[in-house]
Formats: sequence, structure tokens, C-alpha cells
Amino acid sequence: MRVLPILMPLLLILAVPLSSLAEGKQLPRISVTDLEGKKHQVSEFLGEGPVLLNFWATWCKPCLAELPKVEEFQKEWAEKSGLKLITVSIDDPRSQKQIKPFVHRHGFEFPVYTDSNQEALRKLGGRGVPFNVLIGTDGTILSSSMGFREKDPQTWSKLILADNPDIVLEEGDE
Amino acid sequence: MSKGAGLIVALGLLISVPGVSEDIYFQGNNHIELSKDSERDRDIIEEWFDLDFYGGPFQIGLQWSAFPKPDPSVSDPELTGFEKLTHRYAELEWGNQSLRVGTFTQLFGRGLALRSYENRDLRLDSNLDGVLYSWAPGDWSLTALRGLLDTGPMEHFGRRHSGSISGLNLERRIGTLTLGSSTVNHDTPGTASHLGLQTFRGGWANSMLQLDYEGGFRFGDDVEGKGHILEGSLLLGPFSVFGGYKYYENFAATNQAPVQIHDQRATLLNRHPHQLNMDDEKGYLLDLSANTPLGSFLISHALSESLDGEPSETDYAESYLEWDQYFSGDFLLSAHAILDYQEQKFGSPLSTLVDENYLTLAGDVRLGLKSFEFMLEWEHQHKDSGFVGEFDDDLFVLEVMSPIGWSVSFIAEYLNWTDEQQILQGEEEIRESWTGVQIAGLIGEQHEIRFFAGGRRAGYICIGGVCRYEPAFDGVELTLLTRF
Repeated sequence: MRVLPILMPLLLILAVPLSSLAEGKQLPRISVTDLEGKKHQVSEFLGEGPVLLNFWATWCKPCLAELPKVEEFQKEWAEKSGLKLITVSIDDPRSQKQIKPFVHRHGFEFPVYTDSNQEALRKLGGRGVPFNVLIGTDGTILSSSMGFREKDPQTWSKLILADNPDIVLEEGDE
Repeated sequence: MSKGAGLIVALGLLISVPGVSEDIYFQGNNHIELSKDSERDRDIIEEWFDLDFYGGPFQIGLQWSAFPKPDPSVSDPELTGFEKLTHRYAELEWGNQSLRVGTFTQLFGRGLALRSYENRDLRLDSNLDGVLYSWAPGDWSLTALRGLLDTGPMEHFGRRHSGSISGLNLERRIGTLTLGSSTVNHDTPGTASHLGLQTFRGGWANSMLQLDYEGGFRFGDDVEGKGHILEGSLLLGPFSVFGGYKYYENFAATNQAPVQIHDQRATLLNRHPHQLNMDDEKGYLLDLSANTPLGSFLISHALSESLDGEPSETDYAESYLEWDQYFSGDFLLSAHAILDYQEQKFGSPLSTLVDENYLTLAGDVRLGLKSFEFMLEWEHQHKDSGFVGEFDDDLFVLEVMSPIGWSVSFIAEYLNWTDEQQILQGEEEIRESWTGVQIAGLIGEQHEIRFFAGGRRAGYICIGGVCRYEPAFDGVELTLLTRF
């Protein structure tokens, strides 16, 4: 196999500034489907506060480990900023109808939607799960990240504060 | 220079032009896997490079891929590797309509009539090359397409376009009721060969109950075929029930309907080579689950068999009990355990059908302290085969995760089988143990890197009833995923 064609994309990546170009841009037109089968534009969730989109799957161990932490973060920021957590399962369409009992069994209280052919995930630049996208109240993409790091909630807090200067923090809040 | 590489360079030059409108932006990712199999003296390079441009209602994109010549132990030796443009498209959206020209993937309903998709874990890409039109006025949704079909497994790229597909999907939602119908036609140019699938579906759901049915028939040739899927779930207090039934007779085309078998989190449980046979398979899946203060529980049973009920390689049965628990306080602790029993028929090299049973106990514990997380996983599987006899398989994983997103995993697998059993099983080499170390992490927001060194046993990877055989590996492997 020739080496040049393999290296070409790598060189191109190194040649452009490494910033996630979706960040700072308006959310593209993407839709997700609720567990009753109804399609929703993600823009429907905007307007009352920032939105954290969390992509996961029932078979993804790191996703299941991070979901409680993401939920904890949302609960902490819901009152301060109106933050909504929208979780999106990318489970295969063939096992899609098993998601609702799965969510019920695990006692998840947050809203769960599906993106079976991974079109929303791809339009946001994701290629796998877990994948988190923080969207500002006006629909601007504030951040998108693969995986989950302990510092992510701290980063999201700063971005929410920068996007909502009116938020007043109480003593002890970061 | 290939056309694909030339196009990539041209797009690269375009995006580097200063002053490009603020409304126009691009995003892409590069996924490269470099492996050196020292045992078999084989270098493997696999790459997927995706680039998409967005400009108001317009979107254009491409995917350039490199794929090596397949391992001779598993594939047609005439297949060669490739580096080429595997996807390219242009899309326009206006109002509630969109038109796409070029490559695309598509799903009609639950996949009974049509499913074309890409799954890199399975090295599968069944995209279509043609025209896709979608219109979604109010509660209606209409999709029409025409295109040439790719063959699926990536090593077969280049053998595509043996025929064209046209399809129409119509769906309407009325309150909590969803109704839909799909028609898909397959034509082979220059011949009278024609195959069509027509399906109808209906689904109803509220917060407690969900019922779905999709069924259809085959037309256009002399073969009688039909397919049915029926699924339902009920949530009642802390309990939930799920049931699914499948019946597929001469219904294989560009489709992948529900297999009614769970994909598992435990590695050994996904190695059962049960492939969905959409020409001759029926069966069911039944789940009972509960969410209690002692954790969440699931009891599941699945059965697949041939339509006439005669013993065949389609036969598969699985029963299991699964438990999950999560504690949160000064530290995080989660635990997962599963006790699973699988039965299947296996076509032995002597062309006889033999029974194979697997009893598996698997569990993992994850402990999160302030700075680090630790995960310990153990899977034990007892195999009883009518052809090779009985032996045990044990898999251990110890993973340490740092707060900055890096992890180190130690993986070890040991089988107590005899040399004779390995020869009967058709193993490439006599071996009892495999060990490996994996380091994975995130660099900034853009890069995800994974490095593996060691050995990995040959085996199947099965996702949703689609399986791929992965040959044994010994060496080093580097995976880099970059978003930009």
C-alpha cells in the first residue's frame, strides 16, 4: 500500500488550526426521536437555558459510568441557568424498542431520545460515544467533546457562566 | 496521485483561503488504525477521513478510506486492498425538504424493508450511491431514493454496483399512533432479475405501554417471501416487560431487521457467531426487569430457530440474569454481574451439526475515588461442545482511569483447553493465554488515542445479528481519532 495517500489526510489535519470548527457556530438542523417515536428538532429544546446533549448507548460501559455524573451536573445547574439535559441513545434501530425498558430498569429520570442512524451525532462532529455537546441558550455550540473527563463539568460551568453573565452564584458555588 | 487524494488536497486548499464567509464552515475527522502483527509479519493500515462543509442550506462532504488486503485466513485471496474516495455527496435543505445527491445511508422503519449503514467495528459499509429526497410536512414524512448499492463488508468495496435500488417510504403520525409503509425494488441491469419488498407498519405508545408491528411480503420474482416483527413493552411501577417476535422467510435483501437477541456488555458473550438469517429464521425475546433498592435486575430469554423447526445452524437460545447497582457518596461505586446460558447448533468441519453450550459468569466493579477510577472485570465461560469437548475461558481486565481522561488497562485471557481441542477447533496455533496492555486517552478536545500491545484471541464480533470474524493478533496497534 502506498504511503503518500495515507499521509495526505494527516498532513492536511496538521496544516489547519486544530479547533473544533462547530464551536461558536449555530446548531445545525438536527432531529432526534423520542421513545414514543415522535421526531423533534433539537432547536425545540432551546430558549429557556443551555442544553447539554449527551450521546450514549446501552452497550457502552463508559457511557453508563458517566451518565450519573452528567445528570448530577445538570441538577446542580438546572436552577441556576435552566440547563436541560437531553440524552440521545445511538442504539441500533433493531434494538431501539428495548431502550424504554432499559431506561426504566435503570431508573433514569432525564429525557431520553434516539438517533438510530447516527445522523445527529455525525452532524455535530461525533464518531462514537460517549459524546457531549453543550449548546448555549441562543443555539450557539459552546463545546463538544469525546469521552468524559472529571474536569468536563468544570469546563461546562465556565462556558455556561460566560454565556449567561446574568447568573448570580451563591457562596460556595464555583 | 489518486482522484480521491487530489480532491482532498483541493478541499484543503479551499478551506485555507482566508476570508471564506463566516457562514461557511467545515468539520471533519480522521480515524486511522495502524497495526503491526509481528507473529504473522503483517502491517495493517486502515483509515477513514471524513470532511463535511456547511454553508447555509448547502452541505457537501466526502469520505476517503484506505483498507488493507484482507487476512488470507478469513477472506477470498483475490480481494485486494484499496485507497479511494468511498463517499461523496452534496445536500440541499429547504423548508421541510431535503435533496441529497451522491452517497448516503438510509433506514426505512425498523430495517425490515431497507437498511444501508456504516459500522466501523464490523468493518461494514453498505452505503447507496444515487439520489435521496425527503419531505416532512407536519405529521407526514416521505422519503424517496434511487441508487446503486455497496456490498457491505469493506474488503468487498470495488465489487459494488451490481444492481440498483429504488425505494419509497411514507409515514404518518396521528397522536400516539404511527403508521407507515415502505416499498423497495432491486434491479440487476441487463437481466430480468427483479426483487421487491413491500412492508406495512404501525406503532402505538404512551408513557406505560408500547406496541409495534411491521410486516411485509416479497414480490417481483417467483419466490414467496414474507417477514413479520411484533414487539411490545409495558412499564408498571418498578417493573417492566418487553417481548419481541420475529418471522423471516426468503426476505434477505438490503435489509437488517431486529435480531431479537441482546448485544451484551461482556466480551465473551458477544462472541457467539449467531448471524441473523433473514431467509429462514423465527424466534422471540422476552425480558422481565425490575428497579429495586438492591439494584436493577433483568431476566431474559431469547430463542431463534429455522422456520420448519428442524435442527440447523440458525438454532440459538439464550437465558440470563443481569444485575446492576450504583452507589454515590464520598466515592462512586458501580457493580454489574451477569449469569448467562447459551445453546446453539454448530456446523462442524465434518459437515455434521453439533450442540454447543456456553455457561458464562461475568462481572465488573468500578470504584471512583477523588482522583482516579478503578475497574476490575472478570468473565468466566464454560464451553461444552459436541465436537471439541469441554473447556473454560477466563478473561480479566484491570483498568485505571485518571481524571484527565487517560486510562491504562491490563487484559489477560486464559483457556484450559488441550492441544487436541485446539486442533479440532481449527486454531491457527497451539496457545492457552493472551495478554495485552492498552493505553487510551484524550489529547485536548480533538484527539482520542489508543495504543495496544500484546496478543488477542481470534473470534467473532457480533452486533445486532451481524458478525465479523477477527483473526488472532500479536503485536502493536495504534488508533488515532482526530476531530477538526
